[in-house]
Amino acid sequence: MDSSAEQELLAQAQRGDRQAYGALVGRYQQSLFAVCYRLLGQRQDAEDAAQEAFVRGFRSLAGFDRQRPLGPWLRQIATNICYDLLRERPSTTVPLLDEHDSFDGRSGGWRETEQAQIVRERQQQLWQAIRALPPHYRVVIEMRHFQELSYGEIAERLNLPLNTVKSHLLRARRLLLERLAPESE
Amino acid sequence: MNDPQLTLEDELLLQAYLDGELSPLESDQFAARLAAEPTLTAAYSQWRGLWAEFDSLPEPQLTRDLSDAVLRRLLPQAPLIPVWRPLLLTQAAAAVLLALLAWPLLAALSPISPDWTWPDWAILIQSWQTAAGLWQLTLNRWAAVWQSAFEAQPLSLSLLLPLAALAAVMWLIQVGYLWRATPARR
Repeated sequence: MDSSAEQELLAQAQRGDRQAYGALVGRYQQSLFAVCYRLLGQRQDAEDAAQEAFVRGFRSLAGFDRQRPLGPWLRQIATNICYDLLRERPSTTVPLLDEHDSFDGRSGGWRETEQAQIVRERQQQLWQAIRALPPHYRVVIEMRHFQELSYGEIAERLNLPLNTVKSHLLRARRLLLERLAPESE
Repeated sequence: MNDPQLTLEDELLLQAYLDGELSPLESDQFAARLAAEPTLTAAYSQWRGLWAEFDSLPEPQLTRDLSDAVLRRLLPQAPLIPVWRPLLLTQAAAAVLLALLAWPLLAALSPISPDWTWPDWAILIQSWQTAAGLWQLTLNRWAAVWQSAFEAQPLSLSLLLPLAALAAVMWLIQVGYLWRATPARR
């Protein structure tokens, strides 16, 4: 789908065309799901949150400026939803990855080489460490490392002072390094 | 890991350097320090490893299409205003029907005037044709009806009770419609 086709779909969706919006959902569902899954850590929760983000996006679409890119706007809605969920249900438990949570479909199985297994285990350790972070640290890590937002953009979207964002990022990374350290030595 | 030999300011600088948040000049200055300070270099290597691990993480894959589920949730739910619109229309129709039925009935049953015969369609038609006349006549008749109701209570009760029952039935029908038409909320 090229940019002009997306603009046309967006214009139709802003006029209330649900089928046009459905095409946009098809385009962005993977990236929204990824955001939600990284933040919430559970597949079903992530799918529900992604759906909710699309529904809220449709309801707010009339006021959306078509000059802006749609993807980051939708991902921001998804991030806000997940962040609210995380704050509502503070938990120290870290969801475990199950076999359905293999991210790229290549993990597991007797064909996996020893090197690939080591890499996969290391990735799972990092996921576990990220998921063990408090919500306010987890969300800045998500926005910086996966959505590639600048400090200023993170501060604006979370309505936080710039120095607080820097501080949250620093503390989150310290925690991650501490939790990954035994395996890296 | 929090390196005790690094100051908080250096940690923040290192972080900003890796995040690409420094200006070109600041970045060059920090790179020069990295080359000259072993403690900073060691911390950089450790932190850079974390960045590389983030970059190597695969993206979680969605295994089913969410479009249908989203579109189902976007289907228009029956809003409250259209529910109230037929309710009001029903009430208005019931009121008109009740008035049309009750007025001649009441007029006929009430000892209003000796020369009044029921139904005096000529008067009705004439009054319907002239709004002012209708209102005047209606008001006069209703005044007479109410006067007779006070004078002959059993008669007026026997008249008003069926009308009240009719109104109640209509009200129940409307409530039933409202109950069915109001969308269930999760």
